Amino acid sequence: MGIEQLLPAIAGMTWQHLVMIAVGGVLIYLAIAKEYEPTLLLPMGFGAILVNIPLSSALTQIDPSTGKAVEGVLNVFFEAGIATEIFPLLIFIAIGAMIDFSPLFRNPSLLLFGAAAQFGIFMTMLLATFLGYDIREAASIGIIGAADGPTSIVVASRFAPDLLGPISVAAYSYMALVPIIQPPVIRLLTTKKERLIRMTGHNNKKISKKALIAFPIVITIAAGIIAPSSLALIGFLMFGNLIRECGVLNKLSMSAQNELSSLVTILLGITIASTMTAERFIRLDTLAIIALGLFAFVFDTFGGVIFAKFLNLFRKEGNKINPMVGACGISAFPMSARVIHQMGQKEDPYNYLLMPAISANVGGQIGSVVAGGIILTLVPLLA
Amino acid sequence: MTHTVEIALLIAAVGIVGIFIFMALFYLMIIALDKYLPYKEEKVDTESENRE
Repeated sequence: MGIEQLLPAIAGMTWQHLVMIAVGGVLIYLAIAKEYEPTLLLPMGFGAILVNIPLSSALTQIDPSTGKAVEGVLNVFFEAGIATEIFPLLIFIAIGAMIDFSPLFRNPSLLLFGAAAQFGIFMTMLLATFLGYDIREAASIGIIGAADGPTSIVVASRFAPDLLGPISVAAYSYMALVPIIQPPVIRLLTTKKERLIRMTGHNNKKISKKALIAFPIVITIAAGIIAPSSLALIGFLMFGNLIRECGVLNKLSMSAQNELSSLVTILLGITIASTMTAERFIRLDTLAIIALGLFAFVFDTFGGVIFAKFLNLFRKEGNKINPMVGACGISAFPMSARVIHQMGQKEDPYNYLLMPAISANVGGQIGSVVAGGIILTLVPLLA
Repeated sequence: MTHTVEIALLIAAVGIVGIFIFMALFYLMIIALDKYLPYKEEKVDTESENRE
């Protein structure tokens, strides 16, 4: 009896499988040692190992004796949770339950940065088409710039399921790398004088409970009327927020924020890994997608900062916006706000940018979902 | 310029404008909600407290 019969996994092992197992190890290392998005990168890393051992029963395999397919659990999870978009949408309920929209009520104009900082999505989509990707693939790659994992998963699973693995890895890795990516781009685009701008606002203004309850309902109706295709994304986010704000479902709100979020995150991470097989992952495409993802994050930051500088052209002295706050219009919450606050304190220890930065960052959370909804609407319509 | 790039340009242009329209609309809604549903201090029922 040869090694093929005794240990078929070893006999079937190729260098590509070994590379993918190493990739899984790196993701686990980043999750544990560097704490880069550990809730997602750890399950994805472990899943990458799980699916790259030849003949893994976690994936669907053909039984050589009967010639029939034996379904693997990760393929079942994929079909049930990702292909149907159930997992990312459940995550949106959890995220909605975690978001406090009151900072937006205190500084509503900063909501616009949630639009400006989605610039990277569209620039990246354009660049991807120049590189030869079709429009659906390009849109899926561009959405990495939403800095919002579930939105990236929804768009990629609908338009380019084959690229879901690298897109998810890029989206979550770069979200974790915001403190490294954003500061040099911001420094490059701003002057010392601009970084020293202090922002005053209604930071302690109290917001009525009724307004906070009405907000998710009104936004859902408005989004649904304008772009019904975006309703699954925005509606689930706002549903989670309504559970949080209504005041009579505290137990459900806590469950959505904790148990639901944790359970779905585990399933989401390990299920995405089912697409990280050597055959699908070890391609030039993966490197290109990872590079394009970085481009998207850089241009998101560019869009936010430049928009703030543009607005400052029309604002009076003493009422100007610190352009660094513009960079918080991405969805990576609260990491981006924290990074900007720290950058502001480094320039001037008495400059407190946290509250406006949080307002812009909350705007980014809405903006990324709106961007996802717009992409889902426009691509089938115009392509 | 290929047809795909042209479509991407169109989607980018409509998309960016679309996001700003959405967010501007949300901005107006926040202003309206804040105006018509302003914060009010909760009234404490002092009379019943005094009676007790």
